Amino acid sequence: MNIYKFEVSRLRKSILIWTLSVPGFLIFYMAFFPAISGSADAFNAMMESMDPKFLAAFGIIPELPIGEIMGYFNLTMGLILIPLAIQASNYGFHILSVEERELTADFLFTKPISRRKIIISKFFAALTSLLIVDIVLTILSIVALTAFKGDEVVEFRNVIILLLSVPLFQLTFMSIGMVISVSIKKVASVLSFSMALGFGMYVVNSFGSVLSSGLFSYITPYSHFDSAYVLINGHWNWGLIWISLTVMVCSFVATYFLYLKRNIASL
Amino acid sequence: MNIILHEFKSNLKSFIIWFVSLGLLFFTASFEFDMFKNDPRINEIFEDFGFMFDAIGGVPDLTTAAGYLSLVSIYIYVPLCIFSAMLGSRIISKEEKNRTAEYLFTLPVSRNKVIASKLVVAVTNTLLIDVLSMLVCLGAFGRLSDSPETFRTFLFHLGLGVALTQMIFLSIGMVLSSLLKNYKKSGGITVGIVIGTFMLSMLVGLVEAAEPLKYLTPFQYFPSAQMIDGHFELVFIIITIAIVASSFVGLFYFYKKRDLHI
Repeated sequence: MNIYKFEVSRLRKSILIWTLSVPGFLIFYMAFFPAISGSADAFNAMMESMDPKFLAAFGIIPELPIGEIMGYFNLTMGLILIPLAIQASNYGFHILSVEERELTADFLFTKPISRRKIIISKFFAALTSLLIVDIVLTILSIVALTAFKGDEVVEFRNVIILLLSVPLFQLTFMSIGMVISVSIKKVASVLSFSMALGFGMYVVNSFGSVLSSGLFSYITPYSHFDSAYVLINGHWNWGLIWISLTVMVCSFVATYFLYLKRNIASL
Repeated sequence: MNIILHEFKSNLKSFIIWFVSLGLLFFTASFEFDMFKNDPRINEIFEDFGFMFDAIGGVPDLTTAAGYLSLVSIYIYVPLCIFSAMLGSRIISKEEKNRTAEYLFTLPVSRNKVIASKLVVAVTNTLLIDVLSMLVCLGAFGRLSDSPETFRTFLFHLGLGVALTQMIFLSIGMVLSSLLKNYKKSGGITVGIVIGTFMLSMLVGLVEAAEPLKYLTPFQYFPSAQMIDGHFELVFIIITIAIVASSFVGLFYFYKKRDLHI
């Protein structure tokens, strides 16, 4: 419990910054919706005249035109997922490697506690931090949707189902970060690693959505947790999401055993 | 000179990793372009969505290499800017992070000289990765382009635009890591600025009402659609020079007085 409390308090500032900036950005983005909602009719008329399959190849979804609140929210979520992924990877790479980087490993590992307890406490501390951001994001998404929807109808059920997948999305990135951080000798710069993972996957996904081959969509969690699918169908895309969930579970199990046996660099 | 060589060496590994992964990305994109470059339907579709592209200066002709590249160019701008931002912040703060500050600053060289050497390396690396990326694009897309002459000119302009944008983030990264008290913070803040301005840039491109915000995001200073005809807006060049110059002056000013973390 002490380690858990210490880790959460060590992340306190980071949690504060993320909780302010990510949902803050969401509200900022949503605030521009009333400015474009007028163009919805012209847009919809155009959509109907075109082959939906062809549109989908360009990331344009007929069911979710950006002139309507759900389409605009889908677009916003697509961007909001980037900082969420970076945050999660950041914690994943950071939390197990920080002692070695800051030369506090000798101090921690000579205490009369097992590594098992250390890794579990650290995991829950990171999870808590992610959940705080997710909860604030969920509440403020609903507030923003209600505030800016005008006279349009919002399917809050689908929105909630979408937002419930966000913690799993983050955990996937965190687990990959953790397993890499315990497999390599030294995480020299957490930020480089988490940017490469969080933003790299986003770039892969953007190219994948234009490239209709579908191969990319198996690689990147961004497509497994694609918000458009959830907002249209009202349930998660199980055909792809299981890949992320399998990777997550395997990574966590591997992290656990690798960490117990890790040769921890000391002074 | 010793410091310059040493810095080149210690940044070589990350430079290679960045360059190889970006090169692969550009090559993958070129295969995608290959798939639809002879399909005129693409242009019809995008004509209809013209209003979405007004903010970036209209719809480019997607069946040409230059047009296609300008549409996906945000994925050239953003990664290269992340590279520069992280390079700038790391090259200054790494002595404190690796606990080599004590060693370096007891050598008989002035702080100004150390910073000047690091600045030379940072700027060279930034320009080098920019030029190399453009050469990769030339190799990847040039083979598919029908008018190589126009494409080369476009790449020259694009390279220039990207380099100017990179310099903004490089200088911000450098000044922040000399200004902020805690050396650990600069990297995160700088990358936060890159991602934040990227998201802002997407908003500006999409929502007409957000147009005035384009002065806040460097990604809108040299939009790729304008690079096709080599149109650089004077006001943005002035803003860029002002940001870069004041950041570099700030870098020397603040670093001289910096209380190094030992």
